Amino acid sequence: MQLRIGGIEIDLRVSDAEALARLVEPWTGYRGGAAEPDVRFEYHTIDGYMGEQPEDTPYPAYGCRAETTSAGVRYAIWRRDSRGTILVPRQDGPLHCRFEGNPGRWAIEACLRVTMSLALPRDGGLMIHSAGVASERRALLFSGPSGAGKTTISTMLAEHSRERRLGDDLTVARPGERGWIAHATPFAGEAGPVPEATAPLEAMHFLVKAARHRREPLAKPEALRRLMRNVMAYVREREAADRALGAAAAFVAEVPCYILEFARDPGVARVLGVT
Amino acid sequence: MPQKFRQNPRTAGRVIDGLASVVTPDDNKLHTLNKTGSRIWVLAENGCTLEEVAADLTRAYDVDPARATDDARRFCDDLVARGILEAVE
Repeated sequence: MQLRIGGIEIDLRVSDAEALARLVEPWTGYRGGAAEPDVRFEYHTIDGYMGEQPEDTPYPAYGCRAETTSAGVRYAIWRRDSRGTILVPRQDGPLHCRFEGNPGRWAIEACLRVTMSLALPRDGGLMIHSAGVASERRALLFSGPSGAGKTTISTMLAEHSRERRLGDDLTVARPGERGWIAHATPFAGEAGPVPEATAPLEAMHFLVKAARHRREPLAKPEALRRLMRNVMAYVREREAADRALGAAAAFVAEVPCYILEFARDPGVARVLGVT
Repeated sequence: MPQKFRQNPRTAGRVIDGLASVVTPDDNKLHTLNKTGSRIWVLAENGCTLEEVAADLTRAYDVDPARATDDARRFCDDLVARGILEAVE
């Protein structure tokens, strides 16, 4: 099956057809079809698979090791329900990923998320822990760690305005010809997956829960620090670190970034200019 | 030959508005340097001695050379300890 997520074309092969169907069933609009994928992804299911990760390690803790080879950088990734390798080639060409593990959809999705986080910076893009809302003409992103209010603010704005949800957990941002573009992803939090969508990215907001609504611009170095804290990136070697940092620096140079203090009421829409 | 400091080749860095942000992949950390640390990071791109760092700080901040040398040593030692710079012979 061919998927296109955040502009990344993925050739997805899962050894168990039912596991694949369960994974993609809630995902709308993410079918791809380019002749040359950016990622070749294989997942071999093993019923009852439990890896070496201790039971008490909090989700989503991963183990990750990088090894530089003549072909590129080979990442070994392991977690409690799956493990595998991702080869990021030194030259152009697709990432080659081979995982095995539990047939559950979360296990497969987690491997896809890690893969995306390594694939995107090669094109100058980023996968960001962020929720988003979008109209046809612009998107607003809201970033922060778990509990920051990503699901709350995106759901609230979608319910009380004409904006639609662009996701509540992970969104993609990529540079385009006329500025940065926000992409929905099927990787969702509590509110569930959203259909594929894109819109020009107008602003990024770093969330702070507060008693009132207030939006303050951030200086670029501080915006970069906050963005990097929320970018999904596996930087165990220089090349990946340089790509992710370079993409993030380009992002804060072009996209206005703000601290958004917000309370749990729809009045925040006024601060954001959302109608 | 005086000791030189250079950017750790395992790091990645960018300077934005005069402040350097440096990723050290060994511990997966982002370090945002202050103005002085950022000056040293830039100077260390092609390698620099403690004396060169001290001379730069003296010019930039109009401080006496003895204090600048103390500050340069403290900053360089700290950046080496964090894996941002490395000391080379």
